[in-house]
Amino acid sequence: MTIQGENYKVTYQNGVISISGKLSLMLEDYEELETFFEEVIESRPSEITIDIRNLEYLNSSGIKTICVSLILEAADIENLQMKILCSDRYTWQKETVPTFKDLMDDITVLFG
Amino acid sequence: MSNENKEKDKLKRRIAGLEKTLQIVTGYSGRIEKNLRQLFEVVSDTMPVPMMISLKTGAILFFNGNAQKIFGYSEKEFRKIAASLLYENPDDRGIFLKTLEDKGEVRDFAVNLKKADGSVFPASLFSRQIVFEGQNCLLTVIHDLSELKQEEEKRLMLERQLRQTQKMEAIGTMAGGIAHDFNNILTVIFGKLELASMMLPGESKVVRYIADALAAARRAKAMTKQILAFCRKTEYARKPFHISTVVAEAYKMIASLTPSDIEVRLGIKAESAIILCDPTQIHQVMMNLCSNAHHALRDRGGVIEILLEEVRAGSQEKIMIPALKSGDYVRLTVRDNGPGIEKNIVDRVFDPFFTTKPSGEGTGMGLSIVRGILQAHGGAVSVDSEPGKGAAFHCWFPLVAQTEDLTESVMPQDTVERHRKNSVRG
Ligand SMILES: Nc1ncnc2c1ncn2[C@@H]1O[C@H](COP(=O)(O)OP(=O)(O)O)[C@@H](O)[C@H]1O
Ligand SMILES: [Mg+2]
Repeated sequence: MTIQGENYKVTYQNGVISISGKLSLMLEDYEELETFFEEVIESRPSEITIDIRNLEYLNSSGIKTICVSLILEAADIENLQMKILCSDRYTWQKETVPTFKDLMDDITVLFG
Repeated sequence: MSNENKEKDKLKRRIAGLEKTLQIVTGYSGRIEKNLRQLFEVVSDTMPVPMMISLKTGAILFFNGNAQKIFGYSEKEFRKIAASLLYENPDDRGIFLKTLEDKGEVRDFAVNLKKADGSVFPASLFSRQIVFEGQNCLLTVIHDLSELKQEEEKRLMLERQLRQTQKMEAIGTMAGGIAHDFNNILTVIFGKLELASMMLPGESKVVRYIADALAAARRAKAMTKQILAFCRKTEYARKPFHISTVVAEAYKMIASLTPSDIEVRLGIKAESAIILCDPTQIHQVMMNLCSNAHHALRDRGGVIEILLEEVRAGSQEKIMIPALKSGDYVRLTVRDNGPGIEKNIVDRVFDPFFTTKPSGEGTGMGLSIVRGILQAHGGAVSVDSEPGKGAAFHCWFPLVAQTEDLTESVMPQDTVERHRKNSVRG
């Protein structure tokens, strides 16, 4: 599955969601991404990896969408493991992604 | 656990999750807001232009350091003052707002603004509507035109002056020529009248008429003499000078009148060289050459180099510049890296009234005056140019002496000093 936006790209392949580029849509324009995450969750994977190492920028609506439509939904599935691959090149990732741990017990945040 | 309890549990967890999400998102937004505000403040204080944000009502919400500097208000005063009071005529702000409303933005709105001390300066305003701190505002950038205006005025004045001098020189040359021809005609009149009076008997009434005619012709001769003297007067004004001082003075004036996209460089290698000259004519030579260089570099920018050096003219130079006698010279060069001069016209640029400029922009007299001045100084002028490779005009002034080997008889020291001071004004 792939969403190709003007400045960003989202793919799901072999249990890995990769988001790259710059994602700064208005809140109402995140519907497509919400549906995308819904489909990922419905496929009932036992493990999900979110790779945002090449995501240069994500605005607050994007943070909200990932938190609510992906992480909180995944937290409801028993025994699902989640891993987030981050880059410390991007200050916003260093400041914000570790706080995602508050949303789910089985979550690992890895910086590289 | 019952199904109902499970559902309840799930909902509780979801609510807790949403609360945490809210925290994460607001924390994130807060950081972004702070960064943006910081960015805005850094940008507005780094850019070298005055900028401010005001409400339509006239309240000023934000101003950068440069705005404060140009208007001369303290931070406290600035926050209290109404924006319309920054205009010389407060009604101008109404026109400004109307333009902004009609067009959605304002570009190049020419207006006079007023500083804290009451002084007025010309400016051009650029403005856009923005939302700042939750309110509909206008962001206005101020372009101070006072320096530009002054420079423009100076340049116009100098151009007028230059054109005037060129005209005067042309008229002088013409008058000189006419006076010369007139003299020849008068010589014939004198001769014939004298002959005629000699052939008449002394008591003839006609002798008196002829005597009157001779008197009138003598007056005419005196007048032509005066005109000729006027046309040659520069010859008598020549005195020994350090040409480097005169050139440095003229350079200062020229540099201050040169647009910023043209760089004027000065290289003096003949510090102590002395020539016989009239400093105002050296100024004129430099002005004419630099005004041509300005024109050549117009719309493209570039470099003008003014060089002063001592050179010996030998056989080689004599081949290139036939008017040059062998000997020691001080050579003043004005070089530009403009378009250069086409081969087919390079031989004509010194001709009077030869110009490639549209009428009103060129008289074609600039270089012919330069040549005239150099001739009068016993020197010569030459040009070195190739299309696309710029142009260099060399002015050769015969070297009279050097400061070191000055002797009382050649040049009393105080004469040099005095003229040096005079040349500052000239
Ligand atoms: N620095 C220069 N670069 C290129 N062309 C020049 C330069 N100086 C003079 N010329 C050419 O010589 C012509 C005659 O110059 P000048 O006697 O000063 O008259 P004017 O500048 O009034 O036309 C100019 O019109 C121009 O074509
Ligand atoms: Mg000229």
